[in-house]
Amino acid sequence: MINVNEKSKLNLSIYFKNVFSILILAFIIVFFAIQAPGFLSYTSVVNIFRSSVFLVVTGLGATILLVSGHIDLSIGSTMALTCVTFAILTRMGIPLLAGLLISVVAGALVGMVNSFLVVTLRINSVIATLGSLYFVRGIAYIIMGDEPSILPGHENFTFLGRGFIGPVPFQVIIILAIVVLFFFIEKKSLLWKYSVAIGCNRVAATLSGINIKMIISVLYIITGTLAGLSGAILASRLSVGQKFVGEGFEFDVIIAILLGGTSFRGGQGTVIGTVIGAFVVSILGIGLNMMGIASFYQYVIKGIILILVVFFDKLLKDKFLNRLTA
Amino acid sequence: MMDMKKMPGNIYPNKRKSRGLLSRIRMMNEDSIQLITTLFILIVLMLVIYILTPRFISINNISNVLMQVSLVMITGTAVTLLMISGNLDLSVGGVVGQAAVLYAFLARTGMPLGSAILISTISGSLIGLLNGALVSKLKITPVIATLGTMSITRGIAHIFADGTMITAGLPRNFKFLSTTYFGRVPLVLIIVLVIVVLFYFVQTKTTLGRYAFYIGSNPQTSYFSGVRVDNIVTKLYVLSGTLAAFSGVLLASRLGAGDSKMGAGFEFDTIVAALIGGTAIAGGKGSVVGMVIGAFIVGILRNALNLLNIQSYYQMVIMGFVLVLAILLQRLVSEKLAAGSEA
Repeated sequence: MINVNEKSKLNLSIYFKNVFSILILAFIIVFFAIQAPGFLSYTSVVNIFRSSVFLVVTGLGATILLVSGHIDLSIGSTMALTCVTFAILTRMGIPLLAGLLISVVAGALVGMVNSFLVVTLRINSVIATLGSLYFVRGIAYIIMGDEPSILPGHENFTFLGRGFIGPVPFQVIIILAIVVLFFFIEKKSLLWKYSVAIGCNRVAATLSGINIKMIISVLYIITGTLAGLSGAILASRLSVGQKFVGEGFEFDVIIAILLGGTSFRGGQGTVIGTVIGAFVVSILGIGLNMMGIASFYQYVIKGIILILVVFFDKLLKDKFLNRLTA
Repeated sequence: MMDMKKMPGNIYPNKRKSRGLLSRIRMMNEDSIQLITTLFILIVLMLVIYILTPRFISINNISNVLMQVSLVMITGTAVTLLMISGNLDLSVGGVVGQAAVLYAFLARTGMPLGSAILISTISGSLIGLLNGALVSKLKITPVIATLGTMSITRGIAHIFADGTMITAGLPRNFKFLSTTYFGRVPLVLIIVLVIVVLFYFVQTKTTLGRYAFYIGSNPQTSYFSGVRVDNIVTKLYVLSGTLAAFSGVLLASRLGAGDSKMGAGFEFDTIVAALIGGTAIAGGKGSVVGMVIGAFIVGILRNALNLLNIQSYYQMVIMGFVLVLAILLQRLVSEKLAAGSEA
């Protein structure tokens, strides 16, 4: 049983994690502001929002999924799939909104396939989504064929990824909308609570009458849908459909989520944490680019950060929660 | 039925069903039936492919398949033991790239090839040591820890190859590992054979193999029975890193270049080979022999898809399907057998 004292310890640990990630965020902003000239310019800030929209949108879906103790490695491939679909549908003359809707539904379908593998066939979620990572990428390749890239040829195609409303980039509005939606899900809906319950103790969750299969399926479909949406935004930002996009993106998403204090074993995680984590990862990418550091050093830096973050998370947990986890 | 006794698993009782003689017999059957099922799948697959393209059974093509499969088998032996202990190594693909590039890089500087091979291989052992420390000392989940080192090793490969590949300025005998023959038998084949036999021995006859099964079945119980869990797990990670690096050296010497993209998706192939061979993702179950059959299934399938001129994108889809099918089939077999003994 978690008594009041331990519950406050749990909250304290989450609080410290958020403070930790905000500190990292502040640190890298100050660091790049000094090291990379022009980092705080308007263009660069717009750029940061533009690239973090993908991490925020897919990351929040993956967060609620990871809170339930499941993982989705196929998000990068799903983005490639919908990126290609959106461009092809627009080129075929289908109205922009309808094309967008169909692409997002395609993402939801990927989520359904994943939930079928994990829930119905009971395959370990790492292995199942590793399989669909290749499977979905293959479908994106098949749809696109041998063209180098797909030009949709529609003047408003780029609005989703490059548009402005007044001086505000449209992505900022997308980010706000998704974050507000997920705040609502986190604070007010049962879905998040059920997800935490499943992540903390699957058996207990089943015994208290939660329809585990249904909830996990819904979570996979949410993740797939949001990955689909961000694939469409990506197509619009690039203004072409490309099958290579999103390779290794699942890695960035996982770093962002873990930076935000979500536990890899499930049962713990916050919306605000993931949003901060997403900004840290995208600022890191942009800042390193502006400093002129070749992209291959970023592999090493990202890998080290991932390990450090998880290690720190572990330390905190030992400090505050060793009675709970023991 | 005599060779049933040699099957792995029957001397390492699974924690769930170790009671009674009947369940023990069922246990034996489970492992051997699984092995026989996998072998059966392999034979059917070969027959179907032979009917589709008779070219499949030609000396040229068979040696081609063997070369393709050899790398998966070399790394797969250690990865199988690691997975038996309930761990996972996603960094093997990155390590292959790192070692391949390092081998080419060192050979280009004029270093004797022997020491270049040694240093590249040891670079993999170091990554394995890092993985082992992260997982067993810092208690980081294997998936996350090795995902991190996957990124790090890929980065190192890119740094040494300057983001592309090393082809120019390599010594004349750079490819000697893959071009040496004893009579008609390539050196690589002998190496593979030695490593597989060695690991079969490790798995069935040594304490390292036995402890891997213990730890995979129940790490806590193993710890309290005096198994040095951290030590064993670290050793297994070092083995997996070392053999992955050696595979990278072999790959570089086969292709005559060090490419920083080498080994992309290699972790997928080794894990799939082990899974098809009956290794449980949760640990406590598996065999090197099964992995060898699994590696052949994956390799032959890839080869056949190439012979049939199926484009690489369709291949990705088909491989994804095969993985799911193989896991389902195994689930079916083991559940059917477990149903009786647990009831």
